[in-house]
Amino acid sequence: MYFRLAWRNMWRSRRRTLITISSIFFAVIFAILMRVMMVGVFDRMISDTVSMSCGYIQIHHTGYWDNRSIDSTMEESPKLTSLLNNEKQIISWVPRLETFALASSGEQTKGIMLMGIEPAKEDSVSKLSKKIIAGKYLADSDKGIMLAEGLATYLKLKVNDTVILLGQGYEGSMAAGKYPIKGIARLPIPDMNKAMAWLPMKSSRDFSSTGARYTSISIMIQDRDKVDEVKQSIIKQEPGYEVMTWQEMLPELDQTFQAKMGQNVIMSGILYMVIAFGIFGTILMMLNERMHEFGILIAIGMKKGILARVVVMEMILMSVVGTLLGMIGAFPIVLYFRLHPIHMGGSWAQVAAKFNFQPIIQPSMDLHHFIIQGYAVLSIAIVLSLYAIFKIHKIKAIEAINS
Amino acid sequence: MLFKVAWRNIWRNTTRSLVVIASVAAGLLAGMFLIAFFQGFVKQDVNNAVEAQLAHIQIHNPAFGDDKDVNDTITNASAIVEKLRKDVNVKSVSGRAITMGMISSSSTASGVEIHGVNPGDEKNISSISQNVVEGVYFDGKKNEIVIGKKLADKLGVKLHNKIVLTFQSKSGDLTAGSFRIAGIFRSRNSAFDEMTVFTNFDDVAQLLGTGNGIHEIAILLKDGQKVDTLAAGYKSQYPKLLVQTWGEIEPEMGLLTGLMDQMMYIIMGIILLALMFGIINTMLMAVLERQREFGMLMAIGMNKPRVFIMVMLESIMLTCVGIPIGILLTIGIVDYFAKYGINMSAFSKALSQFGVGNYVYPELHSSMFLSVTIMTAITAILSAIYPAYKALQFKPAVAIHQI
Repeated sequence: MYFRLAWRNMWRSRRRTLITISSIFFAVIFAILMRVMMVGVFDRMISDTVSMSCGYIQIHHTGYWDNRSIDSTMEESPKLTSLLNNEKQIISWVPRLETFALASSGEQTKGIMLMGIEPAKEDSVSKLSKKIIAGKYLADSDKGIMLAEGLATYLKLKVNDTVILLGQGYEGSMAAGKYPIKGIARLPIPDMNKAMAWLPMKSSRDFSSTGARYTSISIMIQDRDKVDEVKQSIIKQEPGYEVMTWQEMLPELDQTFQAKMGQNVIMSGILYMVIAFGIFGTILMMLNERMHEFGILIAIGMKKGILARVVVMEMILMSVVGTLLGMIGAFPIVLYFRLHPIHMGGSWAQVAAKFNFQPIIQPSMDLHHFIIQGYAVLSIAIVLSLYAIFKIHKIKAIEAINS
Repeated sequence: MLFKVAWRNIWRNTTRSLVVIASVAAGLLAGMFLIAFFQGFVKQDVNNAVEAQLAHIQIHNPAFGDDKDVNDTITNASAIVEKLRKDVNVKSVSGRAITMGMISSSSTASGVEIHGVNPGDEKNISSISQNVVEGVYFDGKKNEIVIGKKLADKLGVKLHNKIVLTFQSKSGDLTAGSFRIAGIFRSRNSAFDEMTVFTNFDDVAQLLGTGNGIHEIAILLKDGQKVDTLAAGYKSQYPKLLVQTWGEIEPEMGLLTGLMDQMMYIIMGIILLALMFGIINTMLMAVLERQREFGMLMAIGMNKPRVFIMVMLESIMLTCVGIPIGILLTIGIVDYFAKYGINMSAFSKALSQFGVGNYVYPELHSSMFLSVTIMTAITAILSAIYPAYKALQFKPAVAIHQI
């Protein structure tokens, strides 16, 4: 009965209904836009940083992470390979053989981080081939080496020159080798740019005489929020390895991210306040406009309690419709910016270059932000509509009819 | 005449007017608070860096640079320090002996920057002495060292353990000294904690063989705003020395500030749009509610441009009332938080582990009032155009018969 009354009231004055619904509709759209943009910025920073460095998840021989010793390597395992290939969340994974070494040009010597990679696979994860500034990117069967730009400058070496590597091999053996430089890559992070060198996996294994072993497997996954789930699933299916998430490997990045999220709560709060005023204004105007009608209803014997219930029911109906439409309406806008990210200039671009992420704002398409924001605005609208109960109870029929 | 009519119209229906006034005030408050919050946040970042590590101004021998050669001390340093101490603009001064070296525990070693300081001076210039989490900031004994928590974990050492520092002395020989850990600090910058250790000036100077030679003079000013002008003064006073402000030492800080500014404008844009739609809806409701009135006015001969101007005048007046209210509200609220701070750790678990320094104190600069006021006023007046235009579409004969 109340429902039917409320429903008919809504259709009686379409104009008013439309305005109320639209106020909620726009509120939902703005709340969603702000949230997905902010989340998108952090997603971008994290995914770019993580893909260039350690990946979202790494698997090591137990204890590797603490001492980084070449002895703490793990053997290639077909079981692990098939597990990684079958896990749905995993987009790609790459094995790496990382070790410290001394690189020398004859005159200059420097301590470096030598990384054995599977070139083609590695490129799909860290887009390393795009960083090449001289020479060519490595191929699987190459005998050559690839140096970071800062390192090559320090050693005063060019493409096709030879570099000598010295280091500690597997189980205390001596590692030494001579490699022609095939390419030079420029890395955006200065510390890495001064100290990185890459060998194809096979040469690297020969260099440190590890045989079919590697130090780590880096894993990229689809959904950053599922990182713990994937970690647990790997541990459960294949115990005996050290499995670490990016938060454990890069605690500073995680900390920065958490700190920014705290800031976001404040900004969302400010937006909600503005939204609440907008909705409250509309509700107030609506009640105001209907005073005459309410006065007559009360005069002919309608109980105030029932009237209030009908009015609140109307508002809830309109809020729900507005919220749903807002969630649907936001989708194409978000999708548009997802496909056409906003390119930032100025100091944003400079910071981005410095810290190695692309200077773009690309909103997140994660649907749960849509739902949470819709839910938040809906709650605001419903709480505000309770004001109607208060207002209706204060009505004096005679005055209301004459208003 | 129109002006008078508009003014009376506003006060004829106070609820309606108050809603619009409140929306404008809320929008202004939101915008101002957002900016004040961002300014406070950025300032806190800068302050942390300045107080913990950079100080306002640093003076070096220009040759000291990246290599940090022990021999590049500042000539006449003691005289300069004494002179700066008497400077009215200077809060405190500290002369440091700095060298790069290796720190080793029984288990492992790491590269560090060794700061030889006079604890009494250093306490007044750097907040590190307040960030000591274990032990004390120098006890007055010989060969004491204060290291970061992160470094202590990496080295696997505890309070009162002994560690060895190895570095190059003035004569070019490698020299080593054994130090006892007097205190462990934890600042907000974990990279700094890992890279920097503090010892007594005399202990390290003895090993270096530099006597009372100083590598770095750090200056904390009474008024941080004057840093650029004062630095320029010192530059002309000491033309042979390298005088740098914190902004010149760490250009990244400036970039981050710029990034925050850009982010703020985007969020500000979203909030103003949300405000705009809030006001449009309320005004639209108000105008449609007054159909009968407008119909009547037009029927008795008021022409359309006049109706339009009247509605616009009403909006402008409402905005003019709303803006001062918004400014007063902002001053009150920002002053409250500037005094008590906003505790960010409530929103972010990662921040809470730092304890102190998690409060953001919003800051209002008078220059912001004008730009935000103009932006809010433009938004409010733009939002009035559509409803005013809508008022022109009424046909007098139909409109009069509306209830």
